[in-house]
Amino acid sequence: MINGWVSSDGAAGLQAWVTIEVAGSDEVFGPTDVIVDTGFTGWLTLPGAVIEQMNLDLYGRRPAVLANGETEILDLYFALVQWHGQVRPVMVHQAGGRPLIGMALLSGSRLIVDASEGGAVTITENGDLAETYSPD
Amino acid sequence: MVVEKRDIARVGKAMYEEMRADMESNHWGRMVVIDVNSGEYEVADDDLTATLRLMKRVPGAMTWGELIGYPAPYHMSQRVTFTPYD
Repeated sequence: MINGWVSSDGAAGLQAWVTIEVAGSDEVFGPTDVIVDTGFTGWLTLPGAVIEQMNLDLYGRRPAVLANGETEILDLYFALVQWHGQVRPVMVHQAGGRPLIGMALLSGSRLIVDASEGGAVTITENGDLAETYSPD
Repeated sequence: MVVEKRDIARVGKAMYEEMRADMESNHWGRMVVIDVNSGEYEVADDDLTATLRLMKRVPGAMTWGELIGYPAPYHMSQRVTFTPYD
């Protein structure tokens, strides 16, 4: 289980945070606080300074549609993340602001957010518990 | 050929245009990842799978990726900022 917390950031509103262990291909893991962002379709974003410090390998570039509808080209790096007791390879988009994790990393997990300041965030392995939403 | 970092998107898009018709006919909704240095590519259901497969076959590949039939493989939140090269 991955545990986190909900914080309030003024006008930006509530944010669900967790701490994950991230490494480059040297497999030296270090903790990184990330915002859980279900509107992001990728795995992980990190700022350029962090990517440089972790010495991540550049794998290329990818187009991404931002919230304002503009398509931008983002750098794509490779990293490893400790996830439910396993080391998972992930794609990292270089982006400023706070680090994010998105739905590609959350895929196969259950996310529970107590959405008030100081509330708990839990991410568990979904496994056999997977339920499918049916709109009726 | 070694493509400069700032040219990855331009070269990758041009390579994709050459294969777009074939990709859209046969692989709609899948991900194609192209090594912009060699033109080698892989198609898979997701970017990570295609990229790792290509990196294994072409070590040191510098990749461009397209979600076949769609404008972009990723959607990002408004919290993201970025610094363009060009």
